[in-house]
Amino acid sequence: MTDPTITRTRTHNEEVAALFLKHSSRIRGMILSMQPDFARADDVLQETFLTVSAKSEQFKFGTDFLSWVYQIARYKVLEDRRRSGKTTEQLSIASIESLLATGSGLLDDPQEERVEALKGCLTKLSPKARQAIELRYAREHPASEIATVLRWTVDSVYVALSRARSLLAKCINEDLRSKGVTI
Amino acid sequence: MDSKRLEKLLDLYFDQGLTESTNLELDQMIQSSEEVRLAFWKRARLHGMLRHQMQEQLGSTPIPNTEISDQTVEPASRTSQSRSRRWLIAIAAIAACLLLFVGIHTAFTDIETPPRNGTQTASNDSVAVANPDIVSEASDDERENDPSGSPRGPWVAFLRNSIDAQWGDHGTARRVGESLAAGRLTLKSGLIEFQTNRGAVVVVEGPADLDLVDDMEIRCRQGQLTVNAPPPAQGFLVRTESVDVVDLGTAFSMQVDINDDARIHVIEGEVDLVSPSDDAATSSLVNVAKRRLGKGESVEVESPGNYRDIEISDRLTNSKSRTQSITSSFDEINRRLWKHRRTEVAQDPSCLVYYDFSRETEPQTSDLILPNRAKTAADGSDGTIIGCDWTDGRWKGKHALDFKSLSDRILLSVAGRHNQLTCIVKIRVDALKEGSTPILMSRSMLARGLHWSIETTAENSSVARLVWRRNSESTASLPQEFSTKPILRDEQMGTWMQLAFVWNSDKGELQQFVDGKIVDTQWVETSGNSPTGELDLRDLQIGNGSPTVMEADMRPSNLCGRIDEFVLFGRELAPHEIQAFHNLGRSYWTSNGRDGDWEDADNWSDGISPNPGDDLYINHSGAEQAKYKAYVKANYGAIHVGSFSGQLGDLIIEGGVLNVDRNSSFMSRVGSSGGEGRLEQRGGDVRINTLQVGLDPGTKGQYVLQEGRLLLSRAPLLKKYSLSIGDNGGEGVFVISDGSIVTRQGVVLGRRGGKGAFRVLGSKADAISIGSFGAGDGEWYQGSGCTLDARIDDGGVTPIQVDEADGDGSEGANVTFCPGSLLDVGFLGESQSGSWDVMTWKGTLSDEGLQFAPTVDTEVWSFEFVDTNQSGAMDTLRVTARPPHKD
Repeated sequence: MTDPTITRTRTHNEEVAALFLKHSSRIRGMILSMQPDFARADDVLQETFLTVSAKSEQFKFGTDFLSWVYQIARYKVLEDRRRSGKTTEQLSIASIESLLATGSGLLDDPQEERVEALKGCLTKLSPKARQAIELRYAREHPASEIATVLRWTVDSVYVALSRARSLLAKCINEDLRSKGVTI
Repeated sequence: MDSKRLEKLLDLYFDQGLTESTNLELDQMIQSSEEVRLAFWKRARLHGMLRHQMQEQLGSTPIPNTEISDQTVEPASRTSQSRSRRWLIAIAAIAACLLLFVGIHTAFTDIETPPRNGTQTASNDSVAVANPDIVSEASDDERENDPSGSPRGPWVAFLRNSIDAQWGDHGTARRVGESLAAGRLTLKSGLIEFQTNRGAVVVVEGPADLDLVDDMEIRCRQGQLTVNAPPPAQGFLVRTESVDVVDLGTAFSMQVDINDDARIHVIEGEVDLVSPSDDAATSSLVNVAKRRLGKGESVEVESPGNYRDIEISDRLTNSKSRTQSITSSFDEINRRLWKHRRTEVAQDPSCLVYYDFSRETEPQTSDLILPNRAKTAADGSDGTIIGCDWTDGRWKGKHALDFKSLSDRILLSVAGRHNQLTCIVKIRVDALKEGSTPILMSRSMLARGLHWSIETTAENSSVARLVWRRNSESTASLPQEFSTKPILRDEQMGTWMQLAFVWNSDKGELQQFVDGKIVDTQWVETSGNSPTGELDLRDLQIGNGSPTVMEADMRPSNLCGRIDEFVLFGRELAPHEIQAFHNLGRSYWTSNGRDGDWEDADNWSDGISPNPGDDLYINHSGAEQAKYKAYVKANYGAIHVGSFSGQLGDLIIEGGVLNVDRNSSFMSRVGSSGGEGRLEQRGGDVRINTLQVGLDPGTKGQYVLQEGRLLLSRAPLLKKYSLSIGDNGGEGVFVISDGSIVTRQGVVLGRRGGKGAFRVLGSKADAISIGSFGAGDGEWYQGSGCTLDARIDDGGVTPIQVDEADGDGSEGANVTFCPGSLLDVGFLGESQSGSWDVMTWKGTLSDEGLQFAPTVDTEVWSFEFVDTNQSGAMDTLRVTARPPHKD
């Protein structure tokens, strides 16, 4: 059973938009690495998408979509930075450039297994650690607010979040290794 | 490299906790070592995944608020601006591109999708804005969703009226009062009326396709227009392929069909007809007028310069009466829908106050009293009308109160203290007044009182915020204040809006809504030893904050405008309920009519048959069950069978055609929100977007497909399933014994802690094709404790096929059996021996521990994964029954 209106050939712009959606999690990961503020990162993601859409004709299939988008995202992050000014929360532009020059390909590794592993590992966190992670990532609280909510000191929130991440990283790696996935 | 130190610094960076010195330290480390950079990216990857994963879970696993509510709250303590709206906009933009595909689909259906937001009915999905499950809801009408959005291009006109307009893919304004930018505008049906900046009023009847070139020119590809050009708009130009029509300062109507034939009729004054030139530069008005047309004359133009006088067409001349006729039928529909909803609202046990501003039932009632229609209305909760004239509301026949003078107001009082409160008001603000326009205000500085108003910003009095304040427990503390961004604009004034807020003191959360869309969420972090954030609803007034009753030092303020509906609920309404209130689009099965007959209007709430796009709720069973065997042309939004806690819903589809995929993001549900639902399909063609069977804790759902075809045509954005069985703690069963099921994407059993079973009974089913419809691949995901049940008959069993529909060799069509997922197998008739393929797939197998259910006799049965095409990868699940032992 087919629906001719759905299976018709998509336009170039639609294909590019679909590619963006497909990779949106990675693109956001990339932006978050340069702009740790969630809300601002989301704004940059949105602007990146709008630019990608507007310039979709410039992209040629067969070339590296993500590196093209990363270039646009990078520009958008720097633009955002210029607008809002650098704070101590952000890395220097030199650091960002050197990071982009090496290693960002790690983000492009297949993520499905990793995400599955993460889901399992999250359940293994202690309730407090999980709560801290949830408050940070789901409710977007900065550490100071988490400290208020959990009645901890701000420093102990940083430590708890860092420990939770280390545990998750270890757990994910073990999980992937046990399934024979190259890490 | 000190890896511990690096880890700490990286985490501080991702948690925005770097200081100047640690920032410098990390910067230097990154720039000096590749190893550090790799470590950075590993951590960044985890950070991004956590963000993504947690956002996905938000809404499905609510964060317990007990701790938050137990803790600190200093009144007026720091409020946290939610980023959800920003995220909404961000993702809506992304989702918009998916709509390119969705749009293709909706264009295919014969009834088009109206601009309307999603109805996400499971309580746990109420955190709509951050839940990718329902992201596409936000994108349905991205432009409309953003009340703060300004036109993208220079605006040339504004929308004056819109009657049952079904918009096409183009056009920047979707609400009356909004600006229209230059650009294309398409209308599938209905009527709109816009006025250009130069004053020309254009009525457009769909289907229509126009370009708004500027405030003096439009290009019409198709449609019927009536143009009324006052003197400042003299020279207003309508271009078509075959003729350019220049208004010489009066009124004309014209009709352009898709063959470019144009018919023009002059109602008043004169127009010039000019042949269009291929050369845009020379096609201006300097061209010689080929024909001047006077009052009452009509011509048809089939090709440039070819003018033929025609008889006056009723269609052209009667556009005004046609408009009136469409308007009155639109009013009638609105009236019926509203009456329908009115009953539901009044019956809601949590409804504290419902002023429907209706005068029809008690004409003798004093003009001073506004009766509280809530079924559980407390004594003394009627409104008292001070001043205020009765006037027209949103449609002809709907009553409203007009607020003009400083003394106009409605007084009301509700006893008790309230932890949760939802207020919805239908309001028309006629002018944005500099400063504050009160909506609902507690009298004086009453402890725990509330103040809700529209306030212009200091910098710009043509934009305004919604501001909500709650007085503290003592007058010594400042009120808590929650203010939206400037979201209301001058152009929206004079048009009806739905404003709403939802206060939940347990979460310390306030949400505000405009026209059913969430525009702001903020919350106060609360503390254990603080007061609870209750509201005192005594001595409230609507539409006034003047100092006659307020503290003397308060600035007088009053509403200039109208209100025609006002409701207070003593509970937190979910965003989808606020949206539904705005949409008027729900139909409830009542079973008051003929035996289960779907088409008998008396079986539906208020005796009104469901309208296209409605959400249908069926919560009756047994003798009161619903039966469908019709060929209803209407395409519904969603069906919910068994959606009320503790109630059983039963729907039998006996035949016909049932389409439930009008809105791409709506999900239909059999068993949700603690109810029990059963849908039995005995025939017919059923088409549903996405189906969830057994959603939410305490819920049971069952879909039994005995004959006919079931097509699940969509999947939620960024999700891979079209059918979810046992979701979010619910129990669901899908049974197929004949007919076929085809899905666009995957099948998930046991999502988010649910328990699901998929049963295939015998070999009569024609197809079980997962992922065969349209683009996108199938997927099979079977969670722990969930069951795949295959019953073998004389012909064997119909295999489940997990397809990779697009054949592109991409990652889809995978099959996952989680640890402890169960395979149940047996015979329908007599025992046999042999092997049968239960499932085949084109992707990869991930078997983490499929095992036989405890009831299976493993002496007889075995199962294996088979590589049937010697590709090196398993592609089939096969069960084998050995001949019985002969002792």
